[in-house]
Amino acid sequence: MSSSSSSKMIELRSSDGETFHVEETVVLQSETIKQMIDDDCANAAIPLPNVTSMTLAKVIEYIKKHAEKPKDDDDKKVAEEDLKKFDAEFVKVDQESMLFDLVRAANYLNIKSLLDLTCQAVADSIKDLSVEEVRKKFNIQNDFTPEEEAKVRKENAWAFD
Amino acid sequence: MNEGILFYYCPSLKLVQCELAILASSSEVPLVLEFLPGRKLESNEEVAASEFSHLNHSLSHRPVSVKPDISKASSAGGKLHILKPSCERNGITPTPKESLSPTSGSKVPNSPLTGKNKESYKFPIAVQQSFNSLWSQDVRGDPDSGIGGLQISPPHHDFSLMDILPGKSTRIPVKTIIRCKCVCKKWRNMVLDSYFVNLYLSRSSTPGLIVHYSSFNDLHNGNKRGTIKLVEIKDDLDLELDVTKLFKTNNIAIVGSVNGLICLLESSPEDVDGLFESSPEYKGDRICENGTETLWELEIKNNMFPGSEWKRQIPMYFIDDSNDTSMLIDLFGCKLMAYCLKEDVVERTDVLDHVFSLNSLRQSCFASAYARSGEIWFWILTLSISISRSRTPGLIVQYSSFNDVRTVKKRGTIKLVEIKDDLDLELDVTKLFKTNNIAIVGSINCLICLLSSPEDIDCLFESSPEYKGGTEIQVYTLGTGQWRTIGQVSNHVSLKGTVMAEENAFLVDFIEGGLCVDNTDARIGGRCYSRSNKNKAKIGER
Repeated sequence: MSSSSSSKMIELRSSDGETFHVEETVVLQSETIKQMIDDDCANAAIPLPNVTSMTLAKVIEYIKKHAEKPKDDDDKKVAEEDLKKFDAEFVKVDQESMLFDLVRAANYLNIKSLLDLTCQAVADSIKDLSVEEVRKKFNIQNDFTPEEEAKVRKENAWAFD
Repeated sequence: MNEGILFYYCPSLKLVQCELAILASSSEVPLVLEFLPGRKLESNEEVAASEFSHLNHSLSHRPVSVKPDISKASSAGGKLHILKPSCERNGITPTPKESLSPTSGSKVPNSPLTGKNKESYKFPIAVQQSFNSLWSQDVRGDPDSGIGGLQISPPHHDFSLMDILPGKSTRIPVKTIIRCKCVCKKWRNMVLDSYFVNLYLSRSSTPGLIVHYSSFNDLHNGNKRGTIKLVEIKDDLDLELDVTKLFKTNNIAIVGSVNGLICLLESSPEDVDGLFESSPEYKGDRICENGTETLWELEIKNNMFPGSEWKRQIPMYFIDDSNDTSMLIDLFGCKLMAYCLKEDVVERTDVLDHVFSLNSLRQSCFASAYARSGEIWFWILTLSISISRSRTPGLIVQYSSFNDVRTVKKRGTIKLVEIKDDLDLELDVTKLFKTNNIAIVGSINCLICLLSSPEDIDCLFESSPEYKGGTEIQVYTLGTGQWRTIGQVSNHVSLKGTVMAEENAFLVDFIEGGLCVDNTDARIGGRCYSRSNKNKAKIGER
């Protein structure tokens, strides 16, 4: 992960002990880490006990991509398109749980754009699901009694149109 | 945008709000408080939670002093200090319309809870979350799950709706959210939770009209009925909302509306009484007839809420009736506090479930009390101050008085008061209205719709402000069956003739960019629908 860039490198340590080296300019997208750097707490490896290495790798992929700066205006347009595509692909994760992990990581690291992206992805994924599908997706036990469920569905029948 | 106070009723919870402190209180009672922007907290739930428990503590060990006879307090000197809202605090940048399509997700709207000035009007998320976990542990089941989003990768079945709302621009269609209520109890409670509702609403950048259906309880047997319903009206405000369809009943009363929200009270057919029974009562300069109540003064400490400060301490009053649990509620910023005397707790989740749209009342407060003695329910004083976030520094004062519960005498006239630009003023309410028997029926930006209550006029609901497409505000008096003009809609809101196709509509609320008119039958028996103004009366522009 290390790079030969002249920029200062920040070391991040995931919950499972893996370390990642990221350029400071890139990692500043995380408000949480920015705060740490500002407070001069980032000299040693920053432990991220809430983020697994798999998730962290994803996050770093994201912020690296988003740290790329276009050279000129033409390039900018292309880059924006590119970034959109990247974002769209980025949230197409194999495992649902990865998306949730990313939401949490983005929340914890306070990377707003990533949080928005992943939250929206989750929201979209449940948008057209039936109640049963939502339960299945989130592995939720239906704790309504049949009567209760009938009632709550009746009360909210308009949402099932 | 305009703001106001929502009135709602939860009788069996022993609490009600929406009365007026102003009139009944003596001039010594500091009625004013300022809700200062919360200082930024670390994203540390524990900190917030411990502060919150301190809050609990300080409340339960409140210093109380007996105020034996508030009813003799001068009725003349109720004064409202009006605090000038600062731009940062109140300014809402009009947001571009944004569709609900997923592609809009990357746009960060400038909605109230988002953006740079976030801490100026909301509690830090951590605090809110701690409130949530404190207040709704029982309903959530597992307080450690999901909510905070800071836990170490919990299994994903703990993932919940609450987790995706931190996304500043996350859009979830209302219907999806409502469907989510049917998933499990935890999710249902989440959707009912005021925090969630507020969060959701605040995120909505569509100039939506959202209808809340406020459930209320049976006064006598404590049965809880009803649910909250959210209705989102899409960008195009030119649609009809058939409330009867939504609510499957005609027995709906509009209790109030705030910021495009309408608070409705639905009573079941066999229980139409409930509406009136649960009306707050106000009796001029008297708190209540029964002279035996003890009035307690409860001091709310400055440090009650982390991240917020009160400009002064506000004394609040409630009646301690030994037969029953009295409850005091108060709105702090966007949160509602309820204090139950007997239970000595500050929180009641079920109370919170009944509180909506408070997110638009960040600078307001109200207190109320409620006690029971035999069959008689007393309603006491409340102060309501709400400062509008409209572009003009509008002030909305809500001042309500209602019906005599026992005699079912209902009264009221309506007054419309416009508060001028300069908010840095004291408003002597008694002076303005020449009487203490005033109810606020609704508020429109910086117009206030008031109901004053000489002894003889019929009914609050019947005399709801009526809008007939003109600029006149009229009152319908049930007894005589006649309409009387009592005021003019201020001409900076030009509504002439274009709003309602039909008569019998009454003005419910202004929402951003439009007027919301309701066509509720005076006896709450008829068709109800809301409809928004097409011609987008410019609100707040002068």
